[in-house]
Amino acid sequence: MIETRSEIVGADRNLERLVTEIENAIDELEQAAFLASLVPLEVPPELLEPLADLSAAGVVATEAAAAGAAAAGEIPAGHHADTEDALAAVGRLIEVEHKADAAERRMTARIMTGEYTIKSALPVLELARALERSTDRLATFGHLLHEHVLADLAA
Amino acid sequence: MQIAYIGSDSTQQYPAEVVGSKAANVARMAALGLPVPPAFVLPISLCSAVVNGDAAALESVRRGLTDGIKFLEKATRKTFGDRSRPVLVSVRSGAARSMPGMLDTVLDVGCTAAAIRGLVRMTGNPTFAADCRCRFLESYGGTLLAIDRAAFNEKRNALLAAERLTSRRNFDCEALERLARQYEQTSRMKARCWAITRLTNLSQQRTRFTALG
Repeated sequence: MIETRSEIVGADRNLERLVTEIENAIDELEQAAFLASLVPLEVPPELLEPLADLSAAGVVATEAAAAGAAAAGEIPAGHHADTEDALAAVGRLIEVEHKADAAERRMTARIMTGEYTIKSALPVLELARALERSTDRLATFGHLLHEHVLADLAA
Repeated sequence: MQIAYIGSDSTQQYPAEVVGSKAANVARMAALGLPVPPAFVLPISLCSAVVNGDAAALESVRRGLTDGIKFLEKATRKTFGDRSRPVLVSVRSGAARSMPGMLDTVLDVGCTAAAIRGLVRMTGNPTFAADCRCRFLESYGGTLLAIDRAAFNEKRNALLAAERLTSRRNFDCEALERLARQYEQTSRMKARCWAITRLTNLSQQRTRFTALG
């Protein structure tokens, strides 16, 4: 999708917004990868738990975005299952974003109320926030995909 | 010369002399209640009959493939070559006695260009889908079209060098899609040459091109 950006800019405003939002999600995931490289080897188990949930949320949301985009691309052919699959993916994106929110708040609460050094806590907290922001971006992609699907159906 | 069904609701067991040792053992596992992927087997006797030019046996193979694919589609609730929920098939060969390294396998049969989109929808993983396509083209081209495996290795190694990577596992989705397109050119070119110089049976040509998608 990113590769075709130059072709769709100016041609379809909705598609352009979809691509922009995916690019934003990629930026957040790249930032997360950078921060992950700074996380100490020994992360306390109580911080690993929300971090694992956030990482899983990032993977599930990315997969849902890819699956939803693939299904939405088939909608013009007129098969009901394509619409259902695309909307189901949108539902997953929004659900995952809520789960990521909860995990990020759990992480914040544990760090704020626990006894950690800044050096050990900061990269973990920043990583959690970057992962959460990536699911935010992907949820926004989901909302835009929803609009795109409805527009296709109305056309 | 009935085809054998394994897995799903079937718990029937078959002698190795009829379906090959590999299939016989998988059927035995299914009969014991162990989870095995659904499968169907064209009996060994069909192979020698087809090689001997038995027209009825060839018709049995065609019918068996059609019925067997229907069985897999029903068991998996997916459709062969479908662009939304494709079923992929690993085609194995077998014999009553183990013949290590001598029997061919074609992986990911049904992974047509259209089915790739379905795989992305099912898994959300475009890299996996493109890798399946590459593996299908490699094994199909190498086994059925007799393309020298070196031709595939050469293209893969050239792409690895261009991308500055050391392993195919590091290819991203876009690189794998490019590799698949290069493989398609290899396979199709070879298939055309094969068709012109050696094949006279039109239905065989059609089967080969259909499988390539």
